[in-house]
Amino acid sequence: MKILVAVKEVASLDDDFEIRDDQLDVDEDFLLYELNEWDDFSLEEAMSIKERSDTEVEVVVVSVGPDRVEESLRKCLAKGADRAIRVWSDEMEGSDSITVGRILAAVAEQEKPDMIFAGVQSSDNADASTGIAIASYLNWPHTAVVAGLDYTPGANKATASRELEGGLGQEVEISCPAVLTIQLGINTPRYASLRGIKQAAAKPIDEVSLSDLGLSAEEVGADAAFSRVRRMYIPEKGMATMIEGTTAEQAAKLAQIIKEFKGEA
Amino acid sequence: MKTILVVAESRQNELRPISLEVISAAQSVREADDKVVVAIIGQQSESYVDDLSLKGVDEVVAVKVSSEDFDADIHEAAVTSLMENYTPDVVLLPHSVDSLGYAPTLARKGNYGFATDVFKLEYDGQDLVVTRAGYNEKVHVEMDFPGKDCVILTIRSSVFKAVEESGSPSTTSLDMTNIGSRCQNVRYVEPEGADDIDITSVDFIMSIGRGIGEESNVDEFREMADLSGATLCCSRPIADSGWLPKSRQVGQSGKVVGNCKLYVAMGISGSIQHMAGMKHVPTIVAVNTDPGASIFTIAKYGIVGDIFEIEEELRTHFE
Amino acid sequence: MTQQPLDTAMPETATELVEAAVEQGDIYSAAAVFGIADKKQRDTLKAILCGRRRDALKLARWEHTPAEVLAVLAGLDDDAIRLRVEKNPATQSQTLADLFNDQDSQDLIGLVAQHGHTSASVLFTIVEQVSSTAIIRAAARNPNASNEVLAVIEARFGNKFDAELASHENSSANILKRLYQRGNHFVQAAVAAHVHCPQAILEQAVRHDDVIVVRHAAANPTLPVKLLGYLAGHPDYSVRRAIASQQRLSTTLARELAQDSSDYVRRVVAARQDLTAEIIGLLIHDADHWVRQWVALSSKLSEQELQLLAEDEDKEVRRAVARNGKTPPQLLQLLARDKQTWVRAAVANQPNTPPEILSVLADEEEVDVLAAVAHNPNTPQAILQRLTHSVLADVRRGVVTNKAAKRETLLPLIEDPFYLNRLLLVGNPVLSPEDKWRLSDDPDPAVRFTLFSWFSRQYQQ
Repeated sequence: MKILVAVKEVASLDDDFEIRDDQLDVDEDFLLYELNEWDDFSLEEAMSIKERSDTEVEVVVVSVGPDRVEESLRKCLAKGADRAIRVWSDEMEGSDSITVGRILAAVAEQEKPDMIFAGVQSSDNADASTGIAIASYLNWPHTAVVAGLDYTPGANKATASRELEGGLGQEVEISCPAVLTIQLGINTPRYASLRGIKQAAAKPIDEVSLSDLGLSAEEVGADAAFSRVRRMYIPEKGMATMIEGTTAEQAAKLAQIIKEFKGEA
Repeated sequence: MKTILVVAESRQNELRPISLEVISAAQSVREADDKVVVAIIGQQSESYVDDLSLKGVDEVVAVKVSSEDFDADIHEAAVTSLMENYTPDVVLLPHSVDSLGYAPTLARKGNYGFATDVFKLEYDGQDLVVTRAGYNEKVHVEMDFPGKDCVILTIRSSVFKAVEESGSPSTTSLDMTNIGSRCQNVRYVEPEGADDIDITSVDFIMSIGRGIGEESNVDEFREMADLSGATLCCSRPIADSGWLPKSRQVGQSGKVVGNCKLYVAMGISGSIQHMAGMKHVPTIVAVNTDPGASIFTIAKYGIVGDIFEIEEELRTHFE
Repeated sequence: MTQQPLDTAMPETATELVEAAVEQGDIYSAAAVFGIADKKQRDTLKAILCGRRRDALKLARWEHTPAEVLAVLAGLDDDAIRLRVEKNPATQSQTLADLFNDQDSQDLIGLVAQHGHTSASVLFTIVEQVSSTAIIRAAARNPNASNEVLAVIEARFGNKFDAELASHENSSANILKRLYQRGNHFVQAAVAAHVHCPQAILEQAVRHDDVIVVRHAAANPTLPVKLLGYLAGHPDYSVRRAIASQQRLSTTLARELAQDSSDYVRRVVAARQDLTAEIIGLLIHDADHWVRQWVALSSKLSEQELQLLAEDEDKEVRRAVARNGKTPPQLLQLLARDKQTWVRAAVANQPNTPPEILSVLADEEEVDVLAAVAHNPNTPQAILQRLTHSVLADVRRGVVTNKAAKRETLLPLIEDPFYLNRLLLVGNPVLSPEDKWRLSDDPDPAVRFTLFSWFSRQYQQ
């Protein structure tokens, strides 16, 4: 049995960052890379299924991205993933969420997992589309925003609880293999042990290229994307509106904000 | 002349209010000779036709399918055939949990233009240009769709003002009850009652940090929170001292306050770890003696001042 | 767990420590040792710290970056880095002064004006030269602004910054006098609360027709004793409450206020440190649970009174008894069986709770109780050792911060999966430097930084 977990290295920003001269992205120097928060939860879900299972389960993590992505994959290995795959060819630069789904689907065709997890969304782009795009290319059953899961590896059905708006839950029964997008809070992700981290440093990471997957250059990258960035800019919001005056004045305005929120003013 | 298809959304026998916002988004780019078609998909789809007969809507299509509950396969097939019938230039869906379950599939199969969580639409000549956020809302991104005949967009909630004025569109019914599915609704589970306060579900939080000094000051703020109707939460050092339960801790090693709308941060400097749990809250008010505190960078309102003096005065407004 | 062999032996001197950091080539270790490095080593460290722009940006922003590293970063010819240095709370006075002399951007001057380390002399130059409202306001709010700085602001801008001047602790009696005369009620209130407020003005303020002004005067610690009595009978509860929290309140007045019709006034009386037996008797049966809670924290309660409150229907009142340093062990024993977790957690947190009670509480599953047991110095070592294996990081951190935890107990926690738990071990006095050095190649940058900083302090001359 095998679970494939698709992960992404996301970029976050401190304040006071700068947009690139071509106005299409943020200046790379300001980007801080980390594993997408949602992916901690999908990996944990796969790990806990593996640990509870009577049958052997292999957890494979996969990510599309350049060399630096290795660091995030090693974090997954440190938490106990059995294997990690990094997919990259320069032609993949500029791929959007659906195109990344195409690449990951090609990996799934080779790996033949029994289940695929992906985070609901990534914290940087928040397209919330990659997981479902994988399912689309594979023509697999899929369900989005899963906050609870009952699945026995190898079973042909799983019960998933989707988290709907306003905290409402919906239990659905889904045929397997399937693609599920995993929501924050479905479990409590573990921290990697120091030993796990040291062992992960020595583990190999499979590197897979465009041609290994049987994809052509036309099928990936910016030209194959379903949208194009015209311009990126920093919205005018910036600093907080400062409430000035003496303490009593400031407190009065804070009270007003609270009362307006509660519909009392 | 272009056709805009809006897919409305229902759940548990009610039309979801965001549907009217998406119709409003359609109006924002509608020109005189354009056509706006609103579709609703469900077993009882016809029951929503009246609610969707709004000003600026030319046609309402009630698509009857075998399940009243959302189903990704059924929705995808239904919208695909609607698109074949109406050949829309733009398809607008709510940016909702249900849409996320099938919109990427639609776009992929038809090779349409695609963007999610869009909050602004406009035309630059013939080109549709949409705006969405990136890098955790720190930037805005304008996107276009070169070479695409049709574009599918999911629309962010609470941006467009719901259309309320009624109109008199034509109505059409379609039967698509023959679509099969690989995923069935079992039941809905209502959110749990609030016996024990779950800080992830409350909408108004007052939060204290290291600046609180000693435990008896926590009592002062517990009283203040009580008076104002807030739930008192904290950053890690307070929970580590045993001054508030761990269940009240906001942040990376605590909780993400997902449903909070107003967050009053008292004496919280704003470590990355704490902000991870609350930076998404729409109205953050930060009170801190240090005008350079990081918390001010994510706050909507800032007060440079002493939290105890502010608290002394604030309470008089609620006592 | 098996130990990995160390790559480098523990450094014995400052020079060796810097060499270890250089060998690591890591910006965090390098930043930590920069202060103890000699001139030649500093050049090598600078290459590590500033070699890549993205690293320099990161350090300029980071809350723990040492001041001397920020000074180096401020010297780089890069506005984005300088901006971050100016915003960094750790940036020192001299660096700020240099940055100020070196620039004319209003935004950056504003950052200097509000910075907590900006000296009074730089502020003085700013308020003399600049006219931007935002910058002057930032300077007027800066605690380092001296009376001279504030006087210049008043002289140059008239009443524009009265709110800030009235709230500034360095404003002199003379400025305050003028502010009271010309200001609105909010400004007058701030003057009335000011410790430099002249007595003559306080006399006027207590008779003001706006209750906000009276309330602020009532809270002034320099309020003459005769006025305390006058205001204790004020019709507005918020004025009486301010009086009830005055340090120099007489027993007679306290007794009077303990019977006040307002819950809010009685709550403040109940929180006083100097309660007499008589006043306690008045408050202990109060219908308001907040009043009882505050009384329950008093160090003046008899055992009988504690017993009574330990059986209160309100859990916060019972918790207050469990927090009270005077509560005897047999009452703690009772509270350790309370049905409310939050009450038991307070028992576990109480420094007087004996080992036997803690041993029983250690069998619980609630994180709040277990974390407090783990942190309590009275908890037997064997139990602490057991708690180091808890699956809950908060509980393990309780042991990490336990002042009585022995070296053998703490050693396994050097491999704790949660970075903060490892980080907090660095400062622990019972671990040997050799024990700590095992964290030198820790995967977490904050842990490495804390470790190298600790060693830097040891080898500092």
